[in-house]
Amino acid sequence: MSELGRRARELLKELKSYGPGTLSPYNEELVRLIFSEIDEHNAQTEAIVSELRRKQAEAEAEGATPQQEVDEMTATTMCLHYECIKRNKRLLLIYMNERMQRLKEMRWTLRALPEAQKARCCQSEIQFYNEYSRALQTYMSKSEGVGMDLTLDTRPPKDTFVNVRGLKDAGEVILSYGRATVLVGTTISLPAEEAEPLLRDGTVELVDWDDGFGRNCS
Amino acid sequence: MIVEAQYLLQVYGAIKNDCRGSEDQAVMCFAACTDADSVCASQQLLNLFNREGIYFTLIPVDSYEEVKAHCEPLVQAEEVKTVVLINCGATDDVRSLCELPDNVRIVIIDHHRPVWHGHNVEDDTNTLVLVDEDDPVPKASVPVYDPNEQEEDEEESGSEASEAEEDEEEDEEAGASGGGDEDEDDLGVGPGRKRRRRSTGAEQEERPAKRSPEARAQARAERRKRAELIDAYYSDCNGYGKPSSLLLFSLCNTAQHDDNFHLWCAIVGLTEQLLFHQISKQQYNTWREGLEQKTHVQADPQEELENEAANGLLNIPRQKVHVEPYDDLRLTLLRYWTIEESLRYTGYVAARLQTWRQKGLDNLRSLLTYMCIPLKHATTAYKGLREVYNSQLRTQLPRFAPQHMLAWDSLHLSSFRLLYKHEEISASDMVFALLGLLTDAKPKEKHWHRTAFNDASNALHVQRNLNTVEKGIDLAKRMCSDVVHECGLMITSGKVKGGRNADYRWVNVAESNGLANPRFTHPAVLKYMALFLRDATSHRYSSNDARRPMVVAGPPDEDGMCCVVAVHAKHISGNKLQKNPFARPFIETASALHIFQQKSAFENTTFHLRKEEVGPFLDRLQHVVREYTEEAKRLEQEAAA
Repeated sequence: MSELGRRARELLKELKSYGPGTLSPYNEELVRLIFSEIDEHNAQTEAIVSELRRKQAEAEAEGATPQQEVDEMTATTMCLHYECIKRNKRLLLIYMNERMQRLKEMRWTLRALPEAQKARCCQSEIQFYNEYSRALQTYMSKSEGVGMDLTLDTRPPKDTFVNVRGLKDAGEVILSYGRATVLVGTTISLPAEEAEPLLRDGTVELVDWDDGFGRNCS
Repeated sequence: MIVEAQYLLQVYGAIKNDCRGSEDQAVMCFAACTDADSVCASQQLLNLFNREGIYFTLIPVDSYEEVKAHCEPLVQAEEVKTVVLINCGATDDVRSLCELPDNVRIVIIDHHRPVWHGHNVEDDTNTLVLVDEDDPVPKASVPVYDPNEQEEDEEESGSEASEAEEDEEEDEEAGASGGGDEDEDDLGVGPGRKRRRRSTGAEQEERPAKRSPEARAQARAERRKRAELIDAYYSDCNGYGKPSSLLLFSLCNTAQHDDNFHLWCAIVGLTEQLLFHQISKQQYNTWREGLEQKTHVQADPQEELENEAANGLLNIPRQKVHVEPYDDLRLTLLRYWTIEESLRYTGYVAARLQTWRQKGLDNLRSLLTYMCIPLKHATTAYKGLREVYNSQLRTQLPRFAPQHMLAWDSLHLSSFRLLYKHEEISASDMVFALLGLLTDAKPKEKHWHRTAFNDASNALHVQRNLNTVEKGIDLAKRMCSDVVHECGLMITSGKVKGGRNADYRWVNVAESNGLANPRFTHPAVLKYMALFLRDATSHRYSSNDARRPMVVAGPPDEDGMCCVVAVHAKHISGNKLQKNPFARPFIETASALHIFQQKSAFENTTFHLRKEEVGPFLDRLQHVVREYTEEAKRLEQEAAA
């Protein structure tokens, strides 16, 4: 019983082991095996159904009332096959969807698909990436879209300034307004566009503060 | 220069001008990470900077050595730069300590007293110390610094050999009776203190001709008088001034940036000082009344009407943060505990009823019985209690507390609370939440004090971080219960030294079970323990005059450093400074034992020593304090005669 759905589980474990920002090589072999497993379950189900129909037809031919109810063992077997098909299908869809999300994330954060990641994609995924990139480009264009490069910021900026907090000891950084020392635990205020590269490489994190609880005077 | 509150806006304007006119436009801020007032003050200041588009870097620090290390890049700086120090820097010569040049302007907002009198120079606009007019130690109390004074001393002492000998003898006499600067120099105390230059023979030859004997005698008398004045200032003015967050709130008010957030920060800073006995209740009430008026100004009348209309049927969550005055019970974290636990772990109640003992718990339950609160409900979480028991507690406690040796006056206070959505947080709860976060020691993490400070800063922003407030409250509950249990054990097992008539009492936590608790290495927790031990030990003696100052030495931290703190004996009524008498004895004891602090705290009555130095320090301190006590008695007798 433990063999049921094992391949699909392995597929997802392999993808998970590669971390959120990267892709595992597309495991075509395992996907093909899962499809064949689904076909096998399907074939088993069809065999049971055709057997039941054959018995029904024989009963009608003899003039007896055909049995409406199916015995327990047969019903359980059919349910098991059906659930296995659903499970394999679900895990495959999760696999495809997760890879798709990671490709989208790469388009937003890295703005291009690195060659190393491209080599790990199948043809359909490369096609998906290209179409997604084209759609996003159209949306950001001046003529047909918003006219802004939305991939410049990891989060929608609310202000020209942001407050960030150091996650690593990065020493002195030269900024447009002067120098700042980035140390673990220090809080720095700087322009949003200058904070972006530091946020992307994990040197700092964004600090989200209320602005004075909002002014309540009417 | 010491700057009064009326010039705060000008100081702020000067900071803005410095930033905009310089190539390096960022303001460097250092905030002491040992108390909630620093967290509140830093948030107010950074909020102001954010609104005005001023760049900054904030670094939480826990010693002057850390400030000095971070200021190293500025030593060679040529651009104009501003450094702001929050709750550090007032008591010492920070500029010399950090070797900062004059193009770096230092602005100090510090509630520690006394302010080093070297800051009181009228024409020094490069070092500004903000002190309000209603501070317990206002600017008028601080002796004016005379930079020429030292040169005059040397001219006088170097004129001729015999005159130099006479002068030295007289200087020694002045030193023995407690002369100011000379004594401090002779003690060779910590970094930043002035050092007297020794005159050489070559310099003596260059001295001007001697003055007449009368002129010399007059000059000596004036010097002696001034030395006594300075000595008296440093002896009598050790304590806390106005909270920095309250001072910054007046800046926000003047700059028309006052809102509920800045108001709440000021309230929390002020409440912390009351809870830790750093100001008197009268002083607290004086400042509280000013803040209460501001809460009425900040209230949104439209939202109040809507809430009143709806609250009859439903409890509508508030969408905006609302701060209002509130008569609170001084029961620690009552809303987050059960009634019994809150009573048991409130420092005042625990000290009086001795709740770490079975007899104390029985007394506590007797009090609950008198108040007609069944034990079953007293041990139910407060938030799940029916409203009837809350009102029962409030109506019956003033009636039955005195019968159980509890003063009602010490069990309630006029305070404030913050309301947001379904949450209600009182000012004292917020203080404890911030302290819980600040004192969450993680010895394995190198700069855990910065992480703790940042968590506490986030907790102030309740709209986004209510979960952080809850985490702080959980930590505070553990802190309070640990303190009561460990201190109770120390009292029962006789670890607290100093009897009924001792000059002071003391305890070394490293000799008890508290050794293993990393929380007990933090100065704020040790102060809380000291206050509890002071009150608990005084109640073991039946005399009215049994209260004594308390000295607590903490266990070693990850670097092998132990923190020693001291608290004063009695509350001084009126708007006066709550004087701590241990500043000078600590310095003298350290000097006598040639102990050099590797980590200088921002407060004069907090010392960091190596663990092998603690025993000799505590032993020697007894002799030093005895000398001070005998000297004080002698002076009293002379004055009476």
